[in-house]
Amino acid sequence: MMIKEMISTVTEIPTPDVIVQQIISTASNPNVSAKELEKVISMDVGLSTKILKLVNSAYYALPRKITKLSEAIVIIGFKTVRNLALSVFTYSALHSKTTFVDHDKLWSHFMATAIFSEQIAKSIGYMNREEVFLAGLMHDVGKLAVDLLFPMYIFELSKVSRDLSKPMFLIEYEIGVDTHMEIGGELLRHWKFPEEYVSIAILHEKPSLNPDSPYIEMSCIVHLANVFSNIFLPGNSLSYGKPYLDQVVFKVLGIKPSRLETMYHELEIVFNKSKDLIFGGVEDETGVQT
Amino acid sequence: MEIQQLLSKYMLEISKVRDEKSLYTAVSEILKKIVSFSVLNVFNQNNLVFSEPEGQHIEKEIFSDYLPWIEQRLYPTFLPLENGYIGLIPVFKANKLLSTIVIETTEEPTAEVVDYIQLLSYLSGITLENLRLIDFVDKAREYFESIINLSNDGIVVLNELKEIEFTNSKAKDNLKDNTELLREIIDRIENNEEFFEVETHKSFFSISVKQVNLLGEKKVLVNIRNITSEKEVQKLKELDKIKTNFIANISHELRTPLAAIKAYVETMLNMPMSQEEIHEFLDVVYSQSIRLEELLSDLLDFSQLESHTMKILKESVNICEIIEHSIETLENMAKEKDVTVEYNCSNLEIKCDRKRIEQVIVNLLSNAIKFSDQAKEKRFVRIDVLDEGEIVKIIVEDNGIGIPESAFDKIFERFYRVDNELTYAVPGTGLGLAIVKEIVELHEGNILVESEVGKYTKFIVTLPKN
Repeated sequence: MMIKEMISTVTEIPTPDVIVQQIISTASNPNVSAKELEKVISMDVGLSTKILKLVNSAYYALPRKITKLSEAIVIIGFKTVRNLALSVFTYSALHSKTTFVDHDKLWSHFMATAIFSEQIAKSIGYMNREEVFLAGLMHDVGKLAVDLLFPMYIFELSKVSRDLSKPMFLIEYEIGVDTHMEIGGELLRHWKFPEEYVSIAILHEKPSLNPDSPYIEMSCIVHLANVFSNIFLPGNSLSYGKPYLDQVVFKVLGIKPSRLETMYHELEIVFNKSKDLIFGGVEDETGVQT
Repeated sequence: MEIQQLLSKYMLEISKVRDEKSLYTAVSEILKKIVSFSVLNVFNQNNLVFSEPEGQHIEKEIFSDYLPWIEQRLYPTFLPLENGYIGLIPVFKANKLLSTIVIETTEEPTAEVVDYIQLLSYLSGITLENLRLIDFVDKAREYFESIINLSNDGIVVLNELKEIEFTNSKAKDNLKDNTELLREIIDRIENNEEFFEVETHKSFFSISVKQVNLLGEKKVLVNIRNITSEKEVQKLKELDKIKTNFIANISHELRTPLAAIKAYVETMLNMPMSQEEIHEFLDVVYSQSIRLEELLSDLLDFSQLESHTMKILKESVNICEIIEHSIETLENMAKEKDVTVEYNCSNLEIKCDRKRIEQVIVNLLSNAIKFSDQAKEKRFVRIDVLDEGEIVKIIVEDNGIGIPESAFDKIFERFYRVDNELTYAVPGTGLGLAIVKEIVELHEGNILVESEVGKYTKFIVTLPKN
């Protein structure tokens, strides 16, 4: 059976509520002002508090504490605030149900990939860093969907991956099921995410599947960030074994293999700075340890 | 504003940019279209480098704590004030902050404004990086150009057609002062010579030539070194060596007659001798005294030669008489060496210094006798005097040992002896011909030599009759 087709029909999978939907569309509207975005977010009192907490986290290292959402929006940027709102939503979606999977670990993989994606984009001089962050955050939502629908199956899949020391997506290919990439793409489409996020979710394990994709650069950045995330936090993604590195990234991003080593050291610094975002407290759904 | 408009505006403004300051002027123009601002400041490593309007500053305390934050984050940001915003826009390339633009505005930035500003900060980062690179390359070029132009050597690059493509300052000077130099160099290059020396009318150059490949094209790199002073030093060193040789030589020359005189006089004093014997001995003493006198007069002439103070006294004389007198003087010597001396002269009056011209003839004649070839059966010296209208030619020819062609120029130099070693095979100071040349030239005449080793030597002295 096709898991993909179930995405839109089953109720186990949370959908972004009206407010989050509005945030997605508002932040994508170029003419939106800080006040308008603030108005939308403020409709959910809890959400704005959580966003402010994230904004003031060590990762953003602001010289002054920000107390108002409108300030946060102009200082840290519309898109970053949108990203934070969506990360609050993703965190809660991930923790909506207890399964056999360690959701904190999976979350750390999501967040590390998002942060690494942004850092790699910065390092190679790619302009749309905020979009890359969001794409990194969302790349593995397929695993979230599979876990909510078939918790036993993904648990077993992860075990096989660990026992064989083989990345999960290669096992999925061998079994011939819908992969978590396909499912993730479907979920993002269902959540009305712009097409680029759908494409990146589909291509993140192997960008060379579609080297002509208009989003190939972002796909490669997220792919690389995913590889590094699996190196920094082995097994947290439920996938084990030596991460697969698609050689297409060197050509697309214009980097040499030797660059990966310097990149590793750059990411190590960022990783240590962003531990509060990556390893969020269990009780607090903002993921910020207080 | 539409994105296309923004980009067109950017392209237009950026095409006028020549330096960092004009880049900020352009960026300021473009920013005005995106967001209205009252003041714009640009900071480069915490130093204010640009203001628009000029001289207007935004109070730095308001935002200074955000500058390091911006450097890390590399996103544009807007700090809310009571009645407006401070916009901080990083200009950067990859991970590196190049400068920070700070603006003061009352306008609340929209998402679109922030997007455009982000685009602008990326684009101007690339432009700024390029400007700095160009500046760096310019400076590097200037640095190397200065080195090349400050060099003491001339450097010339020729293309395949042997046309000048490049000259450094020194080469320009060299070629300007020595117009024949380039032609000579090119001729020698076409002769496939790589290292050679060129002498121009005023200087000496050492040239080295290298075939090189410059930017994929074949060129000829020529190095010109002016070695005039080195050559002079070299000449002085040679002269010094010659003088040392000369002193050893002249001491020997002076000692020989002196020793003879001493020995003969000693014998006469200590031994009872017949009148005949005494006469014979005194003859020797006399001839050795003459020899000493000659040497001393040579030395005296030499010092006049050195200081260019030799004077001539012209009077009307019969050249044939001088020649006859000279032959008489050397009669004994000729007999000793078994050399026949002939001459051919018909009465000819010229104006000259009698004593000096006789010195010339005696010198040439004694050389001819001295260097006669003992291996030959018949040895002769012939003097011909030719009347050629305004001038008179005196030719002294012998069938002696001859002079190698390579020494033709040098024999007229001071101290030079063809054997040039302290062999003393043939006595002499090495001054004779130098003095001869000086005398002839003081008479506004000249002296030439023709010779073939083992066959003959011919000196031709040309003198004006008046």
